[in-house]
Amino acid sequence: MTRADPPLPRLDALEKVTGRANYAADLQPQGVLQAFALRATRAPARIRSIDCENARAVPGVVAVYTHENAHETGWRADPALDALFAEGLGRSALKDAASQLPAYRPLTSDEVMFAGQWIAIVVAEGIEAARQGLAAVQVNLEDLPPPEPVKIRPGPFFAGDMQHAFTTGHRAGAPRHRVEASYETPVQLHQPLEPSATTAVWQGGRVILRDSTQGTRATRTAVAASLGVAEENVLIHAEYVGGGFGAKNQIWPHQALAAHLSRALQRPVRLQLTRADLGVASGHRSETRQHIRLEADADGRLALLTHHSEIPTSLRGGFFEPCGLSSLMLYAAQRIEVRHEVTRRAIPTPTPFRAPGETPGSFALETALDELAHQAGIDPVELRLRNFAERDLYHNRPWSSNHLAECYARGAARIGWAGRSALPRRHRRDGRLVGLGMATTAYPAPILPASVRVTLRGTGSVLVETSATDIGTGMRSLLAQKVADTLGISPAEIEVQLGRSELPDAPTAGRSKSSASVMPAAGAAARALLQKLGPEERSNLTLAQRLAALGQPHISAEGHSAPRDPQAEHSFYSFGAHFVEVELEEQIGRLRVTRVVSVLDCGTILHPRLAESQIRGGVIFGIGMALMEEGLRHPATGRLISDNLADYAIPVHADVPEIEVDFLNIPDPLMGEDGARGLGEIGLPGLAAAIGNAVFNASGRRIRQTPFPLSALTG
Amino acid sequence: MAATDWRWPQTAAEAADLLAQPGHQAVAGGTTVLDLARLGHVSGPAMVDLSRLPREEIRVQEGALLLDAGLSNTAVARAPLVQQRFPALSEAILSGASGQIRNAATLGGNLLQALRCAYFRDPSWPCNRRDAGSGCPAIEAPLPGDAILGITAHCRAAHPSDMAVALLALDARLHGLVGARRFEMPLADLYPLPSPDAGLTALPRGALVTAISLPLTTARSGYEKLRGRASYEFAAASVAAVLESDRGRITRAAIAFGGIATTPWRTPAAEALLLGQGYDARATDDFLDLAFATAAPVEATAHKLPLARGALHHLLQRLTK
Repeated sequence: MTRADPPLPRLDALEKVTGRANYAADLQPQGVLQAFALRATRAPARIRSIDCENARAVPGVVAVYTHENAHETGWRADPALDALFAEGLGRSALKDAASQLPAYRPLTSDEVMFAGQWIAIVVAEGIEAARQGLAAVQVNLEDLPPPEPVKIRPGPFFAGDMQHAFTTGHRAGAPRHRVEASYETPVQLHQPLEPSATTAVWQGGRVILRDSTQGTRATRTAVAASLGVAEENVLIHAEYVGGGFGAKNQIWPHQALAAHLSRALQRPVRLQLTRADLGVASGHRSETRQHIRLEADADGRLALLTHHSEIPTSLRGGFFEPCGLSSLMLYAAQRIEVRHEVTRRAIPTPTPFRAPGETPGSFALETALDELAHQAGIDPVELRLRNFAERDLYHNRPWSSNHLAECYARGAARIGWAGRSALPRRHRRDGRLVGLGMATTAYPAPILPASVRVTLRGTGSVLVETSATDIGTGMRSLLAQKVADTLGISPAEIEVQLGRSELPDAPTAGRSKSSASVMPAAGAAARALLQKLGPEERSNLTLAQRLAALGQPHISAEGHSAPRDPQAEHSFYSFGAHFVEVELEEQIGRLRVTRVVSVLDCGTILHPRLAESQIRGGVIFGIGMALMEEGLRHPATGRLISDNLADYAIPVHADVPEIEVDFLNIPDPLMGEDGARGLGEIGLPGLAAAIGNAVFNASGRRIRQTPFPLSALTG
Repeated sequence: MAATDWRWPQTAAEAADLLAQPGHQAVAGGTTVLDLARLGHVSGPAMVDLSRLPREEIRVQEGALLLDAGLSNTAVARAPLVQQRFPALSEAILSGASGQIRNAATLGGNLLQALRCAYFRDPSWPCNRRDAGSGCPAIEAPLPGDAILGITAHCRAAHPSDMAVALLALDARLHGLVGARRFEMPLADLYPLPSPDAGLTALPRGALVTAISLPLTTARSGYEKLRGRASYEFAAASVAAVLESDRGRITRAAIAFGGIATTPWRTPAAEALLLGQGYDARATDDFLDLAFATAAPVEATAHKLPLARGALHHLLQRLTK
């Protein structure tokens, strides 16, 4: 394929930086009402009484809903609905008694399942009145004893067996080196720049939701089922999404609730999550506790790799962090044992968060490998090469394409790995300890079916349409580039309309699959359009002229991409290696990440500028994870304390060094016409471990928890 | 935020008159008061907006540097006289908040800013400092930012200001009006230990802070701030030091800590240990042992003591290089 060169800047950059891009809460339709939620302050509990009389008396308050009257809007709990919403994800893997329990939905019963659960909604003419209304609701909670912790051993999840022990066929000599350690990661919050919001407007018998979601089609299905209306009467519009990272991947109650409220009150309703709502009403990454045991022979060949994870989920939900996924297949140990134990607790339901499973899992595994390398006196890169998995041992399939060894080599060369001392505390710069560390990253590269429509207009301009969302990844720009290249026209002639559920079907943007799924469909649509224009008789005719010759005002064509054959003979993964340099001032515990080199094998790079931006974002997430991000819960009430951006620190510019992103850019011959694999998540896994490993190299301090405690860096 | 009466006094006297009336809340840069009002903190019935008061230029008067309380944090931090003579003050201010906030926030507002504790800020938590007698969740669930000195059953939140720490070490005095009456007090008396009987500050009721003065000095000074991220974060531990010496022997030492105590924290008895000493690590450790003798860290705040100690060693190494 030909490619626009130099690559297009982000098509919507100007709209975004000038504020002209309208996000879900920006729309203020005539007569819109503002809805805000009241969060329960502790759990588990039962609502003894909830008095809304004073709230209803606040001037401007139009309605107050609680579990006592929300059913008047058609709001109900139903296991069939749960399956479509965030609560349902993972429940089938748990198969415990609780998964047979009644469905969970806020505002449907007097049970408070977790602190932060929505127990009242105030709808008012303005934001101020809604806030006053919230403050006037009188809640009387009766505390309930915490549930008996029951350990559940989940079955398969995310295409991996959560309890699996197997002998791979690789052989190691007698175990000479052993690492056995526990690793902990805390609650993490997605913190997209744009908090989730839904504005619902009914017109005739149809509702249009201006929403912030990663998937318009999945939202449509869930909201229609909740409303009890046909899917064609629900339109989900999410043309701009200010980041999601998984928080907008599943469907959460507010998306349907806005439509229910609007229908009941016969007014447009805008339901906006506050920053404090995000962590309890749109998911989080749960804390993890992981135990790794590695045994290796004298040459560092792994005889045993065990990865045991203890993670919580909510009382009624299903999602849990599948930390051991990569451990099943990333290294060629003679024997691999992966276990997960899930405990139901009175917490909000966790949800996927950028590289779910792999992100905390890789922190544990990649740190443990560094510990093993140090103990065995083998270079950490060499140790990984000696245990390189030539094929996916778990699925027993060859990789579609795997150039991990080259990632190691290029990263090592670029950061100056050869100058690294194997022993800690050997390098100083301006009095500061300096260290280098590295880690592997890997993430699956799935593909789902997608459709794109391309329309040529009489003016020669081309409209590209799909329901896929652009959650900041640059989907809009990628589509324009792909169609322009295929049609042989300038990207300036292309208009992209996306993020609307009524447009051709595309999967939810998550799990690094969106571009790989949608781009082939866009190419197919453009080629189908060319075919409809008929054979090119004279080579110098423009598209508009060829359309005119057909005597049609405009012409459309759809393209579809196929799902991957479930019997595929290969395993599809992206791979990479992070190399990190840190400086540590031990006297004052000041740790700075001074250099990051990330070398990635993601197949063909469709758009270097957007791709680098994705990886940089992932790396910055990793810096945040290693150094500062931590969701604190109050031990007695279970309530999230750091539910705002003052108390939940994420990196600022001063924490972010120059990040060097290097793509191998080797096409994956089995990934369709472009040979491109996804890269939305792969920047993050391994990064925190690489930083920790660099801290060890700098100082001899081994850190097995994130964020790295300040007390572990000083004294 | 509830609709409030918004007043714009044109002179300090007018402002002081307004503030002397019950329920009148001063607002200067608005970087804290307005945030808190939006979060549901009770305010009003009237806001007294100080932004239109005339501002005096920075000047030297009677052996002291006089800073108008209405000056922006940035204006003070960037003033050549401050940078040359009181580097600790300039460094402390520039280590705090963000450029935008420093441009808007005033000197007086910085000194009188509210607590930054998560429990204080969100009115759906109990908090003794916000709603007297409601309790303190930090006793059961201490926060990593909590103080380890000056904590009481009433409150354990660390005082948030960087600037006040430097001002305390620089022996600053506050000047102001209560109604028509002038008053003056040492900054050292401004912050009471938390108790049911004390407010956030010991300012007279309805007082308007008009100026801060600093005795002129030739002492070396500096500020070191440690925190969990590189910028835009409150101190995990910080220290301001003001030092004078003669032939390698310390003749005056004023050392104030931030981020670790419920008020900007000085221990004169420990400072006295340094007099006559050289600049060595042992003398510094002796000072720290006494200064932190009453420190009460818990698991969540275990990092604070080593950080604060390291911060002072680090700062003294820089100042005596």
